[in-house]
Amino acid sequence: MSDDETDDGVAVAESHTVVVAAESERLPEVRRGLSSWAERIGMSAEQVEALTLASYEALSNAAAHAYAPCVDGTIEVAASYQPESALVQVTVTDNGRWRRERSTREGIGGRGLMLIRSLAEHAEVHAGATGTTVCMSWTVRSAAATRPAGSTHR
Amino acid sequence: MGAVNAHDSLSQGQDDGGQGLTAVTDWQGATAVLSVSGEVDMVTGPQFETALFAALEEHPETLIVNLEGVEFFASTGLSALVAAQQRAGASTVCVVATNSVTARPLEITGLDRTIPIYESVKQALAVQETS
Repeated sequence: MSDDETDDGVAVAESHTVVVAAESERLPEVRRGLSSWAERIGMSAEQVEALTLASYEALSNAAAHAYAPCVDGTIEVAASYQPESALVQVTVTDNGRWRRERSTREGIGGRGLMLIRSLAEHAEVHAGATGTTVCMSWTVRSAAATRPAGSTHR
Repeated sequence: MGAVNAHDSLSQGQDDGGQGLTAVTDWQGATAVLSVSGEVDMVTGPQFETALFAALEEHPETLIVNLEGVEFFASTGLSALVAAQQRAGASTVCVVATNSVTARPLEITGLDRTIPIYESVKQALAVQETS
């Protein structure tokens, strides 16, 4: 993995971006999409599992806490893979504020964040006036070298 | 073998490709085995909690929550287990978690230190019998 294979072209970054309504019913399909994408770029089963759950927890937080009940908000999920560095990044962004009142029952939001921090190799939460962004990253282990060259991924 | 097996089912199934959640409670004497399959997430979490609470309302000596058939387990599932344990009263709540999808979140959040985790229903039942 120390050298990029350039004889059949420069390794191309792959990305997967979804904008979805901030509704819990919409999140399973987003989760499945991310999971297939992570498999396709060659992450190990364990990493796919970690990425899927961590991303889902970030999505859940956004869907549960970002918007007032009557506001139609959206969540953007942007996943990218840089073959040279083997770095996978997933960013979940909403344009609302995570409202603390919803999680007064001890640990509800807390457990989700605990999972995000533990499952991602690196995780950051930026909560600002215009929204919240969760950035998570992983370094792809295994399978990258055996990825089919003629991947049908567009 | 000779145990009375009541069969009770709280299921929610849109049967489109393994989505949703199914929860079935079997009784083996005073022990309730709640077997859950499918996905426990933000959408199905409340059903999981309802199934747990319904089983506890029958006052089992032990409630074994069998998560062997679970394919996705988010923090809502963890919260439901915590809520169940809090309202368990005299009942003992334990969990069967065989795959990493369920075992990992339980470990990460430290719930495996407050809720006993077993590798099979058989093992969980054996522990109840010897205690």
